[in-house]
Amino acid sequence: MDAVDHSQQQAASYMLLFGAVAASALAMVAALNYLVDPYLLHQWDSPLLQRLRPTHEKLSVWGKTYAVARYRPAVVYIGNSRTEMGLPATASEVFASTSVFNSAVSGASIGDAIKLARHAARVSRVETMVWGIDAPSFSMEQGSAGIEPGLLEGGKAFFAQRALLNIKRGLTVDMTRDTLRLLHGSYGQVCRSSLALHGQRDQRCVSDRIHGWGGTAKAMIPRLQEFGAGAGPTPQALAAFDATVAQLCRGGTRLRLYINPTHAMTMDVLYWRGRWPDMERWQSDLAQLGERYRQQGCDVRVHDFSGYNSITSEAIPQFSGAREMQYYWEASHYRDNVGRMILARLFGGEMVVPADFGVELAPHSLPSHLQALRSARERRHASHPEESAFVRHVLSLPRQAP
Amino acid sequence: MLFNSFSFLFFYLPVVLGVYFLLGKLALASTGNGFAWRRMAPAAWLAGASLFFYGWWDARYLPLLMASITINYLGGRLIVAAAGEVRRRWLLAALILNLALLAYYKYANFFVDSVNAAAAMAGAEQPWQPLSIVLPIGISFFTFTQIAFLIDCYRGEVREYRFIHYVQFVSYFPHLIAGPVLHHREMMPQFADPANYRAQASNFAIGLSIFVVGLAKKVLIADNLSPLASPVFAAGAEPALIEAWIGVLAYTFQLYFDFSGYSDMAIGLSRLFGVRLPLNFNSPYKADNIAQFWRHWHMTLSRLLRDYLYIALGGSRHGQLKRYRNLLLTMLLGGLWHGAGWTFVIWGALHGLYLVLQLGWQRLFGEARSRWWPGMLTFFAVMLGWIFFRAPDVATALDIAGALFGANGVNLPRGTASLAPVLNAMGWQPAFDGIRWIQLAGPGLPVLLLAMLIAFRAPNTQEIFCHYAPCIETIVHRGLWIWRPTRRTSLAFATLFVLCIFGMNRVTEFLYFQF
Repeated sequence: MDAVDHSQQQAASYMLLFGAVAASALAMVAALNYLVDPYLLHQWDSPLLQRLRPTHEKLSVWGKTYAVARYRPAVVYIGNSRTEMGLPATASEVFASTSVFNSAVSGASIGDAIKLARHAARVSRVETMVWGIDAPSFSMEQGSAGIEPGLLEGGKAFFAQRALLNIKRGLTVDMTRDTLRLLHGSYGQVCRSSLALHGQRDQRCVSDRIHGWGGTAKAMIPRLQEFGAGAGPTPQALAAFDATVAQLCRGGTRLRLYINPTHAMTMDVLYWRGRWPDMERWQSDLAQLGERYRQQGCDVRVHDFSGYNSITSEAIPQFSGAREMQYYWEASHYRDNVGRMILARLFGGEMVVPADFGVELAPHSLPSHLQALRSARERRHASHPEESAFVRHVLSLPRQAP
Repeated sequence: MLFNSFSFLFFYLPVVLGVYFLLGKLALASTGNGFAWRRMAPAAWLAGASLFFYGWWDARYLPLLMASITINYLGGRLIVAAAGEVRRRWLLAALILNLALLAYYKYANFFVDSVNAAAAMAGAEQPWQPLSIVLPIGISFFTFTQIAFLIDCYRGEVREYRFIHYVQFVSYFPHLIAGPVLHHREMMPQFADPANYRAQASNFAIGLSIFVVGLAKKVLIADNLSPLASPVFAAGAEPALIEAWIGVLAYTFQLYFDFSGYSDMAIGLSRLFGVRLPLNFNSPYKADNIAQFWRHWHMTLSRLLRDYLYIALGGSRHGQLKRYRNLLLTMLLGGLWHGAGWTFVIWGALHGLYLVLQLGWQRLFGEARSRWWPGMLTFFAVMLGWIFFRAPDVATALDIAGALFGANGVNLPRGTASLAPVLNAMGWQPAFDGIRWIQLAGPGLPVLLLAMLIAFRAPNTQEIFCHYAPCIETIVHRGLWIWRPTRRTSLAFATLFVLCIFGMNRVTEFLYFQF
């Protein structure tokens, strides 16, 4: 009997020590990471947002889904990195006294963007949604934005659930390492978080990143290849997008959908990849979608900023000899001076926008728009044969990482 | 709900344990006739909690599981109550019902796809559209467990059991999703034993420590091997020699650590409730021949196939040729049990062939006595089989198998291009295009080496815990790594647990869930 009691006592001490060590270690790490919050997972209106950090913004979707619930903006931008980098949330000339937040996230497919749009509508009071789209990312494939289901929960318990989720995320090696680096002062200090700019990516981050890749000219090749490798547009994505537009319309949200002004060469990529007919069909579907919901009383407009216009046809460094471009970081990401023009075209304002930049898509005008697009493509191929050959050469190369 | 998830570890498990032992205390304090419900309460709670665990994954299939349990329990009662031809008919009806359920959910689309593929090969139009069926998780496990129960009812080997204990036996959450495959004779008496209603520190210490070992196998080893294997097995990857070897070896150890880790977790969790589960893995990669491998790999399924299929087919009772036929059939059906696809059929056939070849060799030459080559050959044969087990289709499997022998050429790292003249002089002309698919900088390769070391040289979980009867079978082990509930061990296991938690943020499913 004594032996049994002794073994039970020994086991009880074992459990006590196990529990104490494990619980205290986990509690300490969780508390440290939660307080330091190196990735700004749960910050808004906080001085921590001004903290400089490395170029690469980890888990930005965590911070943005939290911030949009705290800020509850009236205007929300949705999209992928093109919208995130290019559309300024501080456009006072367009939205003078309105709260604006750029909720677009790098690596987001249209499936991811749909989730973010629905989340914003759930946790905020969105009056206007500006949504940047493009053909290659218009698929339901999981993007690389790192969206987890728990991030998008709504309801009264949102902040409590997020706190638990953030504590859980804190129990990781990478976050603990970065917390310690931050405390030690060896965490990179290059630029501010996008949260400091209401969701728009800090231009210093982008600039530093492009520099790291070897400059705009070098970044062109992988970006063009990446554009050509996208799975979209797909019918499944169109159906899901349609359902989301319907939901937003029912909620009374004003919608401005726009096709991103990626460089004219990206249109050539679609052409040489044999995806041009898909792109035309997709634009036609979008025009019809817009018309259908307008007839139901929804304030929705669809604009196309892509194609061969005075902005997208800017010469690239390989042919201009310049180190940087005026309107582009590289082929698929436009600068925020272009973003301001997009907002001016969509909402008006004093800014002068080139007449050929931004065409509203509607079923009645679509055939002429597509015909104009084809003609512009042929004219460009004839007038810029070297650039046309460059695109074909890029597509023949093995895929490069940016 | 997964064992390696925060919701399971920090919410579900503490609540289920706490309420179970609270009800257990009440049950033990109830002696009068009027307290029968109290005495049943712990079992009812555990059964309910197990059904909740199952329903958490997809509540739509909970009625299916409940119906399967209820019908099989009633079927068992009818079989026991009947005699002669009626008894046989009840068994037949119950078996047909179970197999029909499995055929519909697991094999219907396999049949449709095969017919469509045959039609396409003949140049005809595809006659059928694939059915929209979601495979209920664990269906193979709970169906086979109950088929064994029905057969034992027919054989007169089943005692009178209460329905609530039967529900608990089939749905018991530690084993429900991916085994071990339980046998009612081993489990029902434990479920009915009131001694297990009392919380015991020793059970907690042993159970939790075994669970931590299983969790570490899954989170720290198997999940880190996955990135090495997945790209190589993708359709169209066409790996070269080195890539193929790394990918196939990675999968071989990923599967072992994933599945044996799950089994350890199941054994550990069950021990928290005072219930011992059967052993499911016993260092299978140390096996010296293929028969030994199957006695040490997924042991509870091997036992089930042997007792209810191989022996039912005649076993070795009717001469060598029939024995070989029975072995081949058993392994073929074992392959099909694992998955509805031709790759699984080939995998099963391959193992059947291995067993026949081994028996033939032993008849001709006797037992192999060398210390090295039998084990190495067995491991290689098993590894070759896993290619078919993992590949998305037969063509990819054949491509990877060929790549192991250099059919896709040899690619060396770009940095070794300076060795080209030396290699060329030796008559070898590899390409220097770099190793594709494999992340050389990640933790994968060191973890692969560690996994090999553990699988080939280290004692297994049950050997480490041998002094504390971790499972139903008796394990004897004399070595250095023996677990005892000391302070040092406690600190070591707490540290291992914390490391696992740190690796758990990317929750990954267990490979055997698909079966």
